[in-house]
Amino acid sequence: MSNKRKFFFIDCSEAAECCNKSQYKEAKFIDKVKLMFHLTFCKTCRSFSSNNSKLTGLIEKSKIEICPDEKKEQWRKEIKKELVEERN
Amino acid sequence: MPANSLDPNKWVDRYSDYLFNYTIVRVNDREVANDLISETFLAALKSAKYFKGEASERTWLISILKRKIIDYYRKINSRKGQAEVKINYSDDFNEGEWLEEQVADQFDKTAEDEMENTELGLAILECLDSINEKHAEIFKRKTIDGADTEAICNEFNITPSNLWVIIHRARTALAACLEKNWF
Repeated sequence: MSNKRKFFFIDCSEAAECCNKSQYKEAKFIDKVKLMFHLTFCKTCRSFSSNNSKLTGLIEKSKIEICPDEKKEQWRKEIKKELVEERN
Repeated sequence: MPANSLDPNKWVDRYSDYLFNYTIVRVNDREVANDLISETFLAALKSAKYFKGEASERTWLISILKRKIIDYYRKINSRKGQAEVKINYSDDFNEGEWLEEQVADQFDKTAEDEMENTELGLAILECLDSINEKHAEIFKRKTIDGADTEAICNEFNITPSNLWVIIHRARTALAACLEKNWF
């Protein structure tokens, strides 16, 4: 295989990594081109990529919120304190 | 031996995000939601001796939280009730008009959509509960918090390639779980 062709060929694990990075907009342009090239002949990765995009859409739609770390720390302290009091 | 046991030291890490998302849509106020969750943890500790282990820890905490939410509404409604204005529809002149006012607007699906999105959020958090704890934590930091790759790597002492492997595993497990439980 010529070097040029080799450059554009990536295996499924590289394709998966690029697909994941692109969900977070962290894939480089050249990697996205390689991914597109890979997807044209790999049915499994096409299906993975489609499901992966769907998952991103669902997560965005759900608008999940994460509690602030300070609040979590406060709750941890409250629980710890209560457990100590119960023991004594 | 009971099927489930309690581990209060892990409650915050395991369930606080789930409880928060469950509460915020029901009370629509962050401060109130935080207070209710705090009260739930304390009430759960006090009644831990009554936990039979038949339900999961999360289900049990949610049942306590539900009572806290109901109590909260009872409290504010008893305050509101004193100033409530009752609308009288028995006006002879406008008889029948109220029927039209009561009909639901079929194009207004906002509330329904919002409820469905919240249910989806809870399903996602439930699925994250079933995967490796560290993977779930890293996935949440990256996907929900939107934290920077470098910051997460420093926080968890992992390399960027480790991070992408973890993200891949978490996403694959989450997709499979949602496929089973959501669709």
